[in-house]
Amino acid sequence: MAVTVDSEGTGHWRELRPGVLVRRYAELDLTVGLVLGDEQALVIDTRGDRRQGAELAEAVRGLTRLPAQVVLTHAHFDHCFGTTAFTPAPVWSHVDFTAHLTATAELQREAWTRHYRAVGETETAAALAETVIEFPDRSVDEPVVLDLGGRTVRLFHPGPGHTDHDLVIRVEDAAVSFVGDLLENGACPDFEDAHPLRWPDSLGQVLGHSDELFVPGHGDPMSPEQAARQHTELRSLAELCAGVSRGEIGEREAVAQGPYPEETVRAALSRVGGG
Amino acid sequence: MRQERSNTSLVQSGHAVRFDWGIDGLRRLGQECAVLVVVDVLSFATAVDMATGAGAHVLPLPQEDDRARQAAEAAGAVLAGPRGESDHSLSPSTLSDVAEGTLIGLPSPNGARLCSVAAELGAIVFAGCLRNASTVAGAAGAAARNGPVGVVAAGERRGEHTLRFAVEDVLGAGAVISALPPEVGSRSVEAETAARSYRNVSDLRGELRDCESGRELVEWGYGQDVELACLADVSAAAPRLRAGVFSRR
Repeated sequence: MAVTVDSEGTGHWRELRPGVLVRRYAELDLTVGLVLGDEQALVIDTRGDRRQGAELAEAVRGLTRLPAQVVLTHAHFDHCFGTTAFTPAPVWSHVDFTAHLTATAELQREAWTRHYRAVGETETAAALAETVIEFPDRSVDEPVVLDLGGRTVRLFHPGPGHTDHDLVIRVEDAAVSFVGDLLENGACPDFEDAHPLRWPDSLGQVLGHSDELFVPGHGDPMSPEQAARQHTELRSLAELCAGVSRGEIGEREAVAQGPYPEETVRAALSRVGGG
Repeated sequence: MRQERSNTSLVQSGHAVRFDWGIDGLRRLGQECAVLVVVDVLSFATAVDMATGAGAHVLPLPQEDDRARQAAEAAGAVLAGPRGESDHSLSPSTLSDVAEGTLIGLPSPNGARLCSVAAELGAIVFAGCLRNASTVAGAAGAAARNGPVGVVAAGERRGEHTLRFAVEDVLGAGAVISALPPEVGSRSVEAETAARSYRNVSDLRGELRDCESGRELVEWGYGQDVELACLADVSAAAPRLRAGVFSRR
């Protein structure tokens, strides 16, 4: 089924499997999720500012009256700054999420407010500037299973990857995994806070079910083949990074051989040198 | 027919798609079917389709009068009133423009009661009608996960305790049964007969207007509701009862 995404800041729902939906946005090509049980709903990521979060909360309310819980895949603004619109719902994240958000929230806000002003999106800049940042109140260390009524979802941290606190949400009966930015469809993986050497093994914990659908944090849902392809790319980039850190190859050689554009490869390399 | 019948005959055992009538039929189907589709074409299920299709939610209320008012109030729902007297009622045409996100309390002594009983049996409950037959069939088939699906024609109440045959419900049930994915499995004779009735209709609109329930509505001035109800497969809603409320998914 084709997904239509408009430019007005509102998204479009698409039902992947019964009661398992994604909502797609033009803004950053973001993908958020909604899982419906018989007794509760689970919202996966909350968009990037107060206004965007309110739009999503309203859209969820147009689909279900079930009491909702929220889970955040990681602490980057576009996935979690809209949370205020959902409280006092319980909000889940990985146990290391809060430390990352505490350390970076104002830096993220500043950098992206500047970006939106620079590109003339003054309303988005203003919404981001005035957003009250809400912190999660439920943390995941060991895997957590949530019973939504007639279906369970498993929240687990597969290991360091896109960040040190990525959370994967697997809808067990539907074989759908929401993987946050561990996968990206239509753009290169982002290495700003990444652990390039460990990302492939962590992602490997998530792959392996043959009929699984993988929902990335940006772009359309992915087949197991598409996910495996990205896994291979991440692994070859990890090998290049390891080669550079051991002094076996130079950075220029790594960039030339890398599976991604120079900027992405250099971002990954910079995360390895410094640890 | 002998008084004691085996369970096999009671529940159309051995078939994945089963069909029965009214509250007793629903209870029997519910013994084995984890998924029940309640079909009440004129007008409960059509009203649910219109409201949920517009992005609203429906709280089915088996009671009427004060008890319905109390239940709606407790749930924070807008109570639909009697036909002709209220902005929103069981008349489907009053529900086409209900605001997204609204919770409507919909009193219906027959359709809503069937849904409540089905939910008490622990079943996954869909409200089906001609408008959403294919969408509901797809969702019900997926929800069944290789188990049997029971389709229930609501029928119309005749007096206090008896039920009459309602042709619009057998056609609605037949539309749902016809659209169930083949992988769900074999149909009982009862289910196949309903499906065949639907497939053999050449003038769906004419039959709906001329059947007993349709004539009644047209006579009372609700011909528009029959027009909405007879449009097959125009809706993308699969109204499913979750925590006592119908939404489009």
